[in-house]
Amino acid sequence: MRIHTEEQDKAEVSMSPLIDCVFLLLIFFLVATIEKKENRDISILLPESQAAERLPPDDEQLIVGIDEGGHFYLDGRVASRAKWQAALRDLAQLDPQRRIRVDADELTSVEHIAEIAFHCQKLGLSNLGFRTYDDQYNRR
Amino acid sequence: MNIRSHAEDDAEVPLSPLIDCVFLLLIFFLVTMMLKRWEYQILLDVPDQTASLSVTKDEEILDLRLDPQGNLYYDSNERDSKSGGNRAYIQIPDILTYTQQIASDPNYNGVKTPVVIRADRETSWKTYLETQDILALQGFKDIAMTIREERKSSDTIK
Repeated sequence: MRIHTEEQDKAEVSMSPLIDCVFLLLIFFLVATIEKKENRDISILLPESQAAERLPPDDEQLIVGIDEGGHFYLDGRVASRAKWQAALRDLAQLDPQRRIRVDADELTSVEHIAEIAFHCQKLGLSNLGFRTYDDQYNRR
Repeated sequence: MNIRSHAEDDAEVPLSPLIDCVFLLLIFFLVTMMLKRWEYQILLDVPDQTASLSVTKDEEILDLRLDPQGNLYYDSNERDSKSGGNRAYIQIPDILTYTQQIASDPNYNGVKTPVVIRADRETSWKTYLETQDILALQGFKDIAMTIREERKSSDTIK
Protein backbone atom coordinates (compact mmCIF):
# COMPACT_ATOMS: atom_id res chain seq x y z
CA MET A 1 0.00 0.00 0.00
CA ARG A 2 2.69 2.46 0.90
CA ILE A 3 4.84 1.65 -2.10
CA HIS A 4 1.80 2.10 -4.32
CA THR A 5 1.25 5.72 -3.24
CA GLU A 6 4.88 6.58 -3.85
CA GLU A 7 4.63 5.35 -7.40
CA GLN A 8 1.56 7.49 -7.91
CA ASP A 9 3.53 10.56 -6.75
CA LYS A 10 6.25 9.93 -9.30
CA ALA A 11 3.75 9.66 -12.15
CA GLU A 12 2.71 13.33 -11.68
CA VAL A 13 3.87 15.92 -14.24
CA SER A 14 6.87 17.58 -12.63
CA MET A 15 6.53 21.38 -12.59
CA SER A 16 10.09 22.58 -12.01
CA PRO A 17 11.62 21.61 -15.41
CA LEU A 18 8.61 23.19 -17.11
CA ILE A 19 9.10 26.42 -15.21
CA ASP A 20 12.80 26.34 -16.08
CA CYS A 21 11.98 25.89 -19.71
CA VAL A 22 9.53 28.78 -19.70
CA PHE A 23 12.14 30.95 -17.99
CA LEU A 24 14.68 30.10 -20.65
CA LEU A 25 12.30 31.05 -23.44
CA LEU A 26 11.31 34.23 -21.63
CA ILE A 27 14.90 35.39 -21.22
CA PHE A 28 15.75 34.44 -24.79
CA PHE A 29 12.92 36.41 -26.37
CA LEU A 30 13.46 39.30 -23.98
CA VAL A 31 17.07 39.71 -25.04
CA ALA A 32 16.31 38.99 -28.69
CA THR A 33 13.73 41.78 -28.84
CA ILE A 34 16.15 44.22 -27.22
CA GLU A 35 18.56 43.62 -30.08
CA LYS A 36 15.85 44.06 -32.66
CA LYS A 37 15.12 47.57 -31.46
CA GLU A 38 17.88 49.50 -33.21
CA ASN A 39 19.13 48.95 -36.67
CA ARG A 40 20.06 52.15 -38.39
CA ASP A 41 22.66 50.63 -40.68
CA ILE A 42 22.13 51.04 -44.38
CA SER A 43 23.17 48.61 -47.09
CA ILE A 44 26.51 50.01 -48.09
CA LEU A 45 30.05 48.72 -48.10
CA LEU A 46 32.16 50.65 -45.64
CA PRO A 47 35.81 51.42 -46.38
CA GLU A 48 38.48 49.50 -44.52
CA SER A 49 40.93 51.28 -42.28
CA GLN A 50 43.75 50.13 -40.07
CA ALA A 51 44.00 53.41 -38.24
CA ALA A 52 40.40 53.56 -37.02
CA GLU A 53 39.65 53.68 -33.32
CA ARG A 54 37.57 51.06 -31.53
CA LEU A 55 34.63 52.61 -29.77
CA PRO A 56 31.83 51.16 -27.69
CA PRO A 57 28.51 51.28 -29.52
CA ASP A 58 26.53 54.40 -28.86
CA ASP A 59 22.79 54.24 -29.48
CA GLU A 60 22.40 57.96 -28.88
CA GLN A 61 24.50 59.13 -31.78
CA LEU A 62 23.05 60.71 -34.89
CA ILE A 63 23.82 58.75 -38.02
CA VAL A 64 24.16 60.36 -41.40
CA GLY A 65 24.63 57.87 -44.21
CA ILE A 66 25.73 58.31 -47.79
CA ASP A 67 25.48 55.60 -50.42
CA GLU A 68 27.48 55.05 -53.58
CA GLY A 69 25.27 57.34 -55.64
CA GLY A 70 25.52 60.21 -53.17
CA HIS A 71 22.06 59.78 -51.65
CA PHE A 72 21.79 60.77 -48.03
CA TYR A 73 20.30 58.82 -45.16
CA LEU A 74 19.39 59.96 -41.69
CA ASP A 75 19.27 57.31 -38.97
CA GLY A 76 18.88 54.60 -41.59
CA ARG A 77 16.14 56.24 -43.63
CA VAL A 78 16.45 58.07 -46.92
CA ALA A 79 16.66 61.77 -46.28
CA SER A 80 17.05 64.89 -48.34
CA ARG A 81 19.95 67.22 -47.90
CA ALA A 82 17.71 69.70 -46.11
CA LYS A 83 16.58 67.03 -43.67
CA TRP A 84 19.99 66.03 -42.34
CA GLN A 85 21.08 69.65 -42.30
CA ALA A 86 18.06 70.45 -40.16
CA ALA A 87 18.85 67.49 -37.91
CA LEU A 88 22.41 68.74 -37.43
CA ARG A 89 21.15 72.24 -36.71
CA ASP A 90 18.77 70.89 -34.04
CA LEU A 91 21.58 68.83 -32.58
CA ALA A 92 23.86 71.87 -32.41
CA GLN A 93 21.23 73.81 -30.50
CA LEU A 94 19.73 71.18 -28.25
CA ASP A 95 22.48 68.67 -27.57
CA PRO A 96 25.89 69.67 -28.94
CA GLN A 97 27.63 66.89 -27.00
CA ARG A 98 25.81 64.17 -28.90
CA ARG A 99 28.06 62.27 -31.26
CA ILE A 100 27.58 62.24 -35.00
CA ARG A 101 28.55 59.23 -37.09
CA VAL A 102 28.91 59.27 -40.83
CA ASP A 103 28.47 55.96 -42.65
CA ALA A 104 29.75 56.38 -46.18
CA ASP A 105 30.11 53.81 -48.92
CA GLU A 106 33.68 53.26 -50.01
CA LEU A 107 32.82 54.51 -53.50
CA THR A 108 31.25 57.77 -52.36
CA SER A 109 33.21 60.75 -53.59
CA VAL A 110 34.92 62.75 -50.85
CA GLU A 111 32.90 65.75 -51.93
CA HIS A 112 29.85 64.44 -50.06
CA ILE A 113 31.86 63.58 -46.97
CA ALA A 114 33.41 67.03 -46.96
CA GLU A 115 29.95 68.51 -47.33
CA ILE A 116 28.84 66.94 -44.05
CA ALA A 117 32.09 67.82 -42.31
CA PHE A 118 31.91 71.36 -43.59
CA HIS A 119 28.35 71.69 -42.35
CA CYS A 120 29.42 70.47 -38.90
CA GLN A 121 32.22 73.00 -38.91
CA LYS A 122 29.79 75.80 -39.70
CA LEU A 123 27.58 74.75 -36.80
CA GLY A 124 30.55 74.45 -34.45
CA LEU A 125 30.17 70.70 -33.96
CA SER A 126 33.40 68.83 -33.47
CA ASN A 127 32.23 65.42 -32.30
CA LEU A 128 32.25 63.74 -35.65
CA GLY A 129 33.35 60.22 -36.58
CA PHE A 130 33.43 58.12 -39.71
CA ARG A 131 32.43 54.51 -39.45
CA THR A 132 34.84 52.06 -41.05
CA TYR A 133 34.41 48.44 -41.97
CA ASP A 134 33.93 45.67 -39.46
CA ASP A 135 32.03 42.43 -39.98
CA GLN A 136 29.28 43.49 -37.56
CA TYR A 137 28.06 46.27 -39.80
CA ASN A 138 24.62 45.76 -41.28
CA ARG A 139 24.31 42.23 -39.92
CA ARG A 140 20.66 41.62 -39.25
CA MET B 1 14.53 -2.89 3.09
CA ASN B 2 12.70 -2.04 -0.04
CA ILE B 3 11.37 1.24 1.38
CA ARG B 4 14.81 2.27 2.66
CA SER B 5 16.41 1.97 -0.73
CA HIS B 6 13.64 4.19 -2.17
CA ALA B 7 14.33 6.84 0.44
CA GLU B 8 18.04 6.80 -0.45
CA ASP B 9 17.21 7.39 -4.14
CA ASP B 10 15.17 10.49 -3.26
CA ALA B 11 17.98 11.96 -1.20
CA GLU B 12 20.29 12.22 -4.21
CA VAL B 13 21.10 15.70 -5.59
CA PRO B 14 18.74 16.27 -8.53
CA LEU B 15 20.79 16.96 -11.67
CA SER B 16 18.18 18.10 -14.15
CA PRO B 17 17.32 21.48 -12.52
CA LEU B 18 21.05 22.17 -12.26
CA ILE B 19 21.54 21.49 -15.94
CA ASP B 20 18.54 23.67 -16.74
CA CYS B 21 20.02 26.46 -14.70
CA VAL B 22 23.37 26.18 -16.45
CA PHE B 23 21.62 26.22 -19.82
CA LEU B 24 19.75 29.36 -18.88
CA LEU B 25 22.96 31.12 -17.89
CA LEU B 26 24.70 29.89 -21.03
CA ILE B 27 21.98 31.22 -23.34
CA PHE B 28 21.77 34.49 -21.41
CA PHE B 29 25.51 35.23 -21.64
CA LEU B 30 25.67 34.05 -25.22
CA VAL B 31 22.99 36.47 -26.31
CA THR B 32 24.30 39.38 -24.25
CA MET B 33 27.79 38.85 -25.67
CA MET B 34 26.29 39.16 -29.13
CA LEU B 35 24.85 42.52 -28.12
CA LYS B 36 28.21 43.94 -27.16
CA ARG B 37 29.28 45.10 -30.58
CA TRP B 38 32.22 47.37 -30.99
CA GLU B 39 32.35 49.77 -33.83
CA TYR B 40 35.33 51.30 -35.57
CA GLN B 41 35.39 54.96 -36.37
CA ILE B 42 37.82 57.50 -37.66
CA LEU B 43 37.39 60.49 -35.43
CA LEU B 44 37.51 63.88 -37.00
CA ASP B 45 38.52 66.91 -35.04
CA VAL B 46 36.64 69.68 -36.78
CA PRO B 47 38.42 72.99 -36.19
CA ASP B 48 36.52 76.04 -35.01
CA GLN B 49 35.49 78.33 -37.74
CA THR B 50 37.08 81.64 -37.00
CA ALA B 51 37.19 84.75 -39.09
CA SER B 52 40.89 85.27 -38.60
CA LEU B 53 43.42 83.23 -40.46
CA SER B 54 46.30 81.72 -38.59
CA VAL B 55 49.54 82.48 -40.30
CA THR B 56 52.16 79.92 -39.44
CA LYS B 57 54.82 80.64 -41.97
CA ASP B 58 57.72 79.14 -40.11
CA GLU B 59 56.00 75.80 -39.69
CA GLU B 60 56.56 73.32 -42.46
CA ILE B 61 53.40 71.79 -43.81
CA LEU B 62 53.39 68.70 -45.96
CA ASP B 63 51.15 69.69 -48.83
CA LEU B 64 49.91 66.73 -50.84
CA ARG B 65 47.46 66.42 -53.65
CA LEU B 66 45.40 63.37 -54.41
CA ASP B 67 43.74 62.58 -57.72
CA PRO B 68 40.76 60.23 -58.27
CA GLN B 69 43.06 57.40 -59.35
CA GLY B 70 44.81 57.46 -56.00
CA ASN B 71 48.02 59.06 -57.22
CA LEU B 72 49.61 61.38 -54.72
CA TYR B 73 51.54 64.50 -55.66
CA TYR B 74 53.71 66.82 -53.65
CA ASP B 75 54.16 70.53 -53.94
CA SER B 76 57.42 71.33 -55.70
CA ASN B 77 57.33 74.97 -54.48
CA GLU B 78 57.84 76.09 -58.05
CA ARG B 79 55.57 77.83 -60.44
CA ASP B 80 54.67 76.10 -63.62
CA SER B 81 55.04 78.50 -66.52
CA LYS B 82 52.90 76.39 -68.84
CA SER B 83 49.71 76.45 -66.82
CA GLY B 84 49.72 80.17 -66.12
CA GLY B 85 51.73 80.25 -62.92
CA ASN B 86 49.97 77.50 -60.99
CA ARG B 87 51.93 75.49 -58.50
CA ALA B 88 53.70 72.53 -60.02
CA TYR B 89 52.92 69.24 -58.33
CA ILE B 90 55.13 66.21 -58.80
CA GLN B 91 53.83 62.67 -58.55
CA ILE B 92 55.04 60.47 -55.69
CA PRO B 93 55.79 56.96 -56.96
CA ASP B 94 55.69 55.22 -53.59
CA ILE B 95 53.77 56.85 -50.76
CA LEU B 96 55.29 54.71 -48.02
CA THR B 97 58.93 55.49 -48.80
CA TYR B 98 58.09 59.13 -49.35
CA THR B 99 56.42 59.54 -45.96
CA GLN B 100 59.24 57.68 -44.23
CA GLN B 101 61.67 60.06 -45.88
CA ILE B 102 59.63 63.06 -44.72
CA ALA B 103 59.42 61.73 -41.16
CA SER B 104 63.23 61.59 -40.96
CA ASP B 105 63.83 64.80 -42.91
CA PRO B 106 65.42 67.46 -40.62
CA ASN B 107 63.57 70.23 -42.49
CA TYR B 108 60.28 68.81 -41.26
CA ASN B 109 59.13 68.33 -37.70
CA GLY B 110 59.09 64.52 -37.84
CA VAL B 111 55.66 62.95 -37.59
CA LYS B 112 54.35 66.11 -35.91
CA THR B 113 54.38 67.83 -39.29
CA PRO B 114 50.86 68.90 -40.24
CA VAL B 115 49.75 67.18 -43.41
CA VAL B 116 47.22 68.58 -45.84
CA ILE B 117 45.70 66.20 -48.35
CA ARG B 118 44.03 68.12 -51.13
CA ALA B 119 41.75 65.60 -52.72
CA ASP B 120 39.97 65.98 -55.99
CA ARG B 121 36.25 66.07 -55.29
CA GLU B 122 35.69 63.01 -57.45
CA THR B 123 38.07 60.90 -55.37
CA SER B 124 36.35 57.95 -53.75
CA TRP B 125 36.21 57.72 -49.97
CA LYS B 126 38.11 54.44 -50.12
CA THR B 127 41.00 55.94 -52.07
CA TYR B 128 41.19 58.86 -49.71
CA LEU B 129 41.13 56.66 -46.62
CA GLU B 130 43.84 54.37 -47.98
CA THR B 131 46.14 57.35 -48.34
CA GLN B 132 45.20 58.70 -44.94
CA ASP B 133 45.77 55.27 -43.41
CA ILE B 134 49.32 55.09 -44.70
CA LEU B 135 50.05 58.47 -43.17
CA ALA B 136 48.26 57.68 -39.90
CA LEU B 137 50.12 54.39 -39.51
CA GLN B 138 53.40 56.22 -40.01
CA GLY B 139 52.45 58.23 -36.95
CA PHE B 140 51.28 61.47 -38.54
CA LYS B 141 48.68 62.91 -36.17
CA ASP B 142 47.70 66.14 -37.79
CA ILE B 143 46.14 65.23 -41.11
CA ALA B 144 43.86 67.76 -42.74
CA MET B 145 41.44 67.00 -45.51
CA THR B 146 40.75 69.56 -48.14
CA ILE B 147 38.50 69.37 -51.13
CA ARG B 148 39.76 71.02 -54.22
CA GLU B 149 37.34 73.12 -56.15
CA GLU B 150 38.02 73.99 -59.73
CA ARG B 151 40.36 76.96 -59.85
CA LYS B 152 39.01 78.42 -56.67
CA SER B 153 40.00 78.62 -53.08
CA SER B 154 39.06 75.44 -51.29
CA ASP B 155 37.08 74.55 -48.19
CA THR B 156 39.59 73.55 -45.58
CA ILE B 157 38.42 70.77 -43.37
CA LYS B 158 40.59 69.14 -40.82
